[in-house]
Formats: sequence, C-alpha cells, structure tokens
Amino acid sequence: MKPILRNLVKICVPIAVYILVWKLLSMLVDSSLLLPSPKTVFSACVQILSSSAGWKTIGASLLRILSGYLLGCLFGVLLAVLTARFKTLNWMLSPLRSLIKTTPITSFALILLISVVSNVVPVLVAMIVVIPMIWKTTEEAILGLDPQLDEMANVYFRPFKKMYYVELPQILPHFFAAASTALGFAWKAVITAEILSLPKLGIGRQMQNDKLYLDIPELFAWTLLVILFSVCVEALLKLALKRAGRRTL
Amino acid sequence: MITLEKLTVRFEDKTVFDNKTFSLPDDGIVLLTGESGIGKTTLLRVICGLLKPDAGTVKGIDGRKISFAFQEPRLLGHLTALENVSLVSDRSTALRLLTALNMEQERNELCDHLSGGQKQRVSLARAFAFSDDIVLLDEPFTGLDEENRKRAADLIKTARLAIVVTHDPSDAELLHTNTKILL
Repeated sequence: MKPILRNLVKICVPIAVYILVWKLLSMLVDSSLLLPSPKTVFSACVQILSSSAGWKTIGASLLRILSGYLLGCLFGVLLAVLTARFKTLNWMLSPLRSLIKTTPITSFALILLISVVSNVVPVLVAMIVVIPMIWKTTEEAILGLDPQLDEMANVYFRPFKKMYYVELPQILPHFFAAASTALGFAWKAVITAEILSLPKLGIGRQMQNDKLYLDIPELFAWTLLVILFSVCVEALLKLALKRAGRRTL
Repeated sequence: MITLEKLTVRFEDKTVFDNKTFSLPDDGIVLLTGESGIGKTTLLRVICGLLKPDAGTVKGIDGRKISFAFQEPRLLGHLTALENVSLVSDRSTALRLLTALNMEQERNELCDHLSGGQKQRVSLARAFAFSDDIVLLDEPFTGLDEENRKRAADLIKTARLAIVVTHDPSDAELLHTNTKILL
C-alpha cells in the first residue's frame, strides 16, 4: 500500500468507526435532545457553513484564537529569554508562572470580565494560557544549549550569526513542539472564554445560545466544527513551522 | 613574543596555574605537552580569550586573529562539511582546505553523518579557514589515519604560529618542530 493511501486509511477507518458507534448510541438513546444522530448534526454543520453568519462567527473566533496565540508566543519567548538570562528575574517570576498554569481558565475569564470588554477577554485568556507553555519550554531549551558549541561560536561567529546558526537550531525544535501543543489549548481557552463573556460574535456565544434554546444538534455541530478547524489550523501551523525550521535547521 | 604573565587560573576545587609565566614565540610550531589535567587546554582557552584568568595578563596577541580547533570537532551537525567551513570564510578557501585534507568527496555530506576522523578534518579546515595567523590545536590528530595525519601536519606547517596540544611524542617529528613546552 502506498504511504499516502496508508495514512488515509489510518485516519478514515477510526473516524468511520467513531461515527458508527455514535449512530448506534443515538439510536439506543433515541432522543435528539440527549444525543442527536450524526446525520442531524452533519446537516446542522452544512447549514452553518452555508450561511454568511456562520462564517462570520467562525472568523471572529479564529481571529481571537490567532491573536491570543501569537501574543502568547511572543510574550512567552520574551519571558523565556529574560528568565534564562537573569537568575533573579527567574526566581521572582517562576511563582507567577506556576500561578498562571494552575489557575482555571474560567477564573481568568470571569476576573477579566469585570474590567475588560467582552470581545477582548477570550484573546487575553488564550494569551494567558499560551504564555507559560511557551515560556517554560523555551527557557529550558535556552538553558540546555550546548556549552561546547557556544564556546566554538564565541571563537568563530559574531552574535547574530551565533544566534542564527548555533542557538536557534537547538531551541526551535523545542519551541515548535510547545507551540503546536499550545494551539490546541488556545482553541479551548477562547471557546470557554466566549461562553462566559458572550461577545457579539463567536463560536462560544453560539454554543451558549444553543444550550439555552435547546438546539442540541447545532451545539454538536459547533463542537464538531471547532474540532475540524482546530485540526486544520494545527496542520497549517505545523507546515509553516516545518518550513520556517528547514531554513535554520 | 607572546607572554602569559603571572597567570593564575582557579576552578571551584582546583588551582590549575598559580602565578605562572609562559613565553611563546611569535611564529612557528609550539607543542604543549604534559600529563592529563595539567592545564594544556586551559592555557589555549586563556590565549583565545575564552577563559578569563583569575590573575595575570596575556601580551603580544593584540591585533592578531586566533582560531581554535577543539579536542572535539564541535561542528554544526545540520550543515554540510562545506557549509561549516564556509561559515567562517569564503567558499573557495573552504573548498581548498577541505581538498587539502582529503575531504573533497564528502564536502556535501551533513556533518552528523561523518565519521570521527572526517569531523576532525572539517574542524581543522574550519580553523585554518578562519585564520592561519595564530592557530590553537587541541589534539588535532585524534582519529586520523597515517595519510591524513600527514596532510593535517602539512596544513599545520602553513600557520604563522600553531600551538599544538599533544600527548604523542611522534607529533614533534611529524610537525618538524623542537619547540616544546612541558606543563
């Protein structure tokens, strides 16, 4: 079997099995309020994707996810560089990192809602979730730089060349792994924050409305769409990171 | 004359040099010999400026360009042999030096895929591509067969000043030098 075909089988067969189990369970439960059938949910998905309002909602959430994620990556890297370089700063900020990591997303969202516009809350929550993941991993990668290569680079290279050819190739694989995981968390954070903050447009708001009006097939449809878009965006990110990495690695 | 004057180097649990003075010629080949752990590599690191001594000064190297072939090759494994050398010089110099060290065939191989002896030769080529004014060489013949030892020795002889750390007494004959410093 060709590798592409083999990969396709590896993806499609489990999905088909899950859908079959879902179908059987929905037949068993026999209540679209508790568990709608796959067919009803897929029709709801098509309905969402065929309306401009649906795309606007997806676009608004996607924009929040990407903004929060990119800001989180930026601040995460910045903090990693600073705490790896200055021990006192590391000592001062590491409790804050633990605090951010252990505080529930809902707490952040509710606290931020008191003082921040509801549109911005999900962005800030995503950023707060992403920062410690990127920060910790990048800091460890910086601290784990090969001292022998560092010494060699001090003989042969100027600082920028040293960073590009010696340090980045050692740091980037760790950063890419963290960045890939963090994206999934950013999705979860934004949707949760949207459910709580109810911005004008957003998948989370739609899900909250569906729950209120007991439109369970649409609630399932939005969940399914979140999973699909999350997988697609993560695949695109991995591709972009791979390309960026190939230039330096 | 290069002088390392009243040199003191201490590590946490060990004093390597205590108020010692060393003099080295401006050119030629100097062999540094002595027991393991006596401070040969430390001396090279002080000359190169990689290690700041606790006390003492290094005189006579101002304005001179120093390269260092470490005991381990310390190459960038994700780059080819040619790329590693080209990073410190122009491509034609890199190619000339790799050819001189019998590495022409493997020039486009990733350094991660090279053998120990091949990596050692790339490291030597890089040192000479960077500078042949003062070249510090820490065990440069490690992992080299007889033919490549001769090629490496021929290259080392082209340096204005080569300071070579070695344990092997036959290296003096190979490099045609009698200048030895026993630490």
